[in-house]
Amino acid sequence: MSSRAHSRIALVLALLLVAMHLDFWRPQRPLLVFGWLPEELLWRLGWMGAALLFLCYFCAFVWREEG
Amino acid sequence: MDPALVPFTVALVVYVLVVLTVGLLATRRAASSAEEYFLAGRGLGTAVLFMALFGTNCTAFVLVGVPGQAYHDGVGVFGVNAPIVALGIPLTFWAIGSPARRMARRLGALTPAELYARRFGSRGLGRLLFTVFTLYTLPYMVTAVDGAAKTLASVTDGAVGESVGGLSVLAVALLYTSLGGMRATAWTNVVQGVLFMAFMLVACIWIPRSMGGLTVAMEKVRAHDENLLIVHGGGLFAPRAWTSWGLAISLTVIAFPHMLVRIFTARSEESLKRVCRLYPIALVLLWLPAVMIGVWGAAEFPGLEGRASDRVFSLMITEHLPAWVAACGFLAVLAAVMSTLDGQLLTLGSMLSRDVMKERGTGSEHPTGADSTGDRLGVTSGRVFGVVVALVVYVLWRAAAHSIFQVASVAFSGYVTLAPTLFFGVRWRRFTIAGATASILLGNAVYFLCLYQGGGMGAAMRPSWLGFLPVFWGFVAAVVAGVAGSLLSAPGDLQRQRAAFGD
Repeated sequence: MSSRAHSRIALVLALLLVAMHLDFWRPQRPLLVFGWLPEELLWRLGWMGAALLFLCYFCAFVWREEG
Repeated sequence: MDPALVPFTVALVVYVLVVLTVGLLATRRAASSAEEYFLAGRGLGTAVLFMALFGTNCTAFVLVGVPGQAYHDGVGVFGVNAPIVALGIPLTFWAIGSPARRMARRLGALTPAELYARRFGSRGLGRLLFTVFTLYTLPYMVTAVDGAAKTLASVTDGAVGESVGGLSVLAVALLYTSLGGMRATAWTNVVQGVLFMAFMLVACIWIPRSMGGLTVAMEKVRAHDENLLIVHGGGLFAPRAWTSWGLAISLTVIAFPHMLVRIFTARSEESLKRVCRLYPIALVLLWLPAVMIGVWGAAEFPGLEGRASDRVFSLMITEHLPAWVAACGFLAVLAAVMSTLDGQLLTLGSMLSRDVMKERGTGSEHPTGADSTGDRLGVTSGRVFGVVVALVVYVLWRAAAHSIFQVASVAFSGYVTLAPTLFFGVRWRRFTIAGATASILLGNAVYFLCLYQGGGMGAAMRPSWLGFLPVFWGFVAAVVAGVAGSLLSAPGDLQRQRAAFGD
């Protein structure tokens, strides 16, 4: 896959992550998953896991070595 | 001595000895050249680079202020801050930090202001950047010294007065910074970062166990106020405020001069990439305990009003941790303060030396060792100006610590108005001096206009026009002015552009 294609994929993924961060549509419930983990925190931690995977992809395929 | 103070005193003495030893060990290499003193020879590998960046990025606010906010606003404090910076900061390292590092190496620049002055061939622009950097950084340093002084006074029950405590923290940070320059601050940041991250992890495990287990602790929170488990929709959590705050905290960090200059120290692009991959993990490890200490504290110590909730960190660790672990907690706060303060002292001192005083012959034009006398003078003047900066901070703190807190919150967002100039300067060849000047001046003018309309310095975190925070409008104005100013002015010198962009 060309580097331009990787850049486009990364842009789409980044926009998707930002959209998921601006999640004002998500209902807020004071639920404790497993009896101790607030649902809100679970969502945010999941988002950060996705961001980490994105950064791994980004560093491997989009951030080219220069200089 | 009060027996209750023994654990903290012992921990404090050990900590000070360790950071001073690190400073001493770095001294010999620091004197060899200006590049070595100011940028650790541009040779920091992944681990030290990461701790230098993360340690500088994380202030005592994360340990004390974040639990205080979470006490009132619950787990939403995690959601509005940690996730977006976990993505935003690494992306700014790529977008601005990486090309700035390469360009600084090509141009022999040792400070952010010097980089942009050389990129455009304009000392005036360098001085403008230096001025804005300084105006936004000094209030920050004052609040850090104030926080450290209050922590010392509180832990020692007033035995160490605030003026002595603040002076001592400033003196220790100045001593190891002056001795070993960037290398000393980077290595001490490793010690400090390990200390405060390890403590927060231990506290996050120990405190709920002491409360009867994690499930019991969370049920106590739900019984106390179930709104602490969700994001409520007001203030900073309203959609447009949330959006503009995300923009602010993602972009502001790279515009801290003490952060950008640390990126110049990276040994390679690969080191910087590894740092970016580590950032989200470290943010979870630090922010999650900080938020949870505040949330659990709300159930344990209800009734703290307003800023009094900042006490929840010390209340929780004193109540739930053994004395020697709690002592490490207070030390962690001091470590977080000093890990930022040292970088700020070094960076402002180096900019004062190289970007302002160079014309008077106190800085070197040949930082890579071409002129060893100039190099030695550059290092000496960097040390002298570090002392000057520390003195200014101390005087400001004693004179105006109270009023400067609001200025510090304005400064945090204000750095964002510099982000367009920092980005275009290293990514866009058509960007001109006029564009950069217009971007900085107009961005700040609009930002302060929004603050003025919102009621003054206290309005930095309150929604302004159309529900967005003032920083959003300042950023938009800086982008528009930067683009328009560049397109309406003559392109810069081609030769200079080629040298800067490595053609």
